[in-house]
Amino acid sequence: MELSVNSQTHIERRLLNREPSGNNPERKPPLMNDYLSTLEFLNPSFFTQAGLYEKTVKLPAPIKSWHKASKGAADRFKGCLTEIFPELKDISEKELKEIERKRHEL
Amino acid sequence: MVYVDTMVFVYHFLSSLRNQHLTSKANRFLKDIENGKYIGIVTTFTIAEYLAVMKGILCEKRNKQLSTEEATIIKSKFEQFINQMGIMLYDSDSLASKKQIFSECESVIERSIAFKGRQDRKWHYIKGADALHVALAISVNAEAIATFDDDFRGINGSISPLMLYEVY
Repeated sequence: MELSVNSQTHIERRLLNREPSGNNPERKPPLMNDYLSTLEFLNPSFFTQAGLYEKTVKLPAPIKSWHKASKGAADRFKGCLTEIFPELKDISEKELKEIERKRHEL
Repeated sequence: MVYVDTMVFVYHFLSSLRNQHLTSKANRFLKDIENGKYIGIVTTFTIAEYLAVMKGILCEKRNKQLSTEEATIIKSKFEQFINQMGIMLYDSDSLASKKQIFSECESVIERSIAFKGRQDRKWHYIKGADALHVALAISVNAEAIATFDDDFRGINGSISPLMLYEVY
């Protein structure tokens, strides 16, 4: 069955205008979360401090941050493993140097 | 900010009457960190290397395998120490995901110069794992790397070696 010219035009207009219907409600375009779309919101001074930005802002946060040391911490841990493992008490300086050299083989 | 080499911790934890000369230098440097003269930095790669070195020493000494519990004790001592010292700990994986660590490694090796040791008369040059430490240190903006290892002496660029047996 052939459609009349008016019916065809009507369908074409519906398609062109894409009028919202109950089954196909009009949706907002998805939010673009890419870099380009956010550029306009950045302070222009960021571009002049690009190096600083790279160095400070982009550095991942440490697992443990700096804080003031507990008093006497260095002395408390001096030789701590020789107390747990007595067989390490007799390690000489020469052996320590050898361990340092061997480290590269690990 | 100073990136602390793994062996500084090994020397300190293995301090005994038989190795006072070398280990006292590590102790004095760590006391300077404690007193706020330096801000110490390590990474999770330092912990891995420390554990490998300690496992190696104990296996050699006892001629037997190290248990999982013992490895945990060794690791926890390190973690307790950096906690009490206020030393910063960075995750190497996070740094590698944000910065070009391995490209930097290559640059570190290219930029470094070989150095002939004054005492042992051997040539010292930066190697793979050392270069990785240097690249990690650069990525966290450390100004120096504190070490007893002559191999680090030839590093060039934004970071300089802090040779502990000379400074202390």
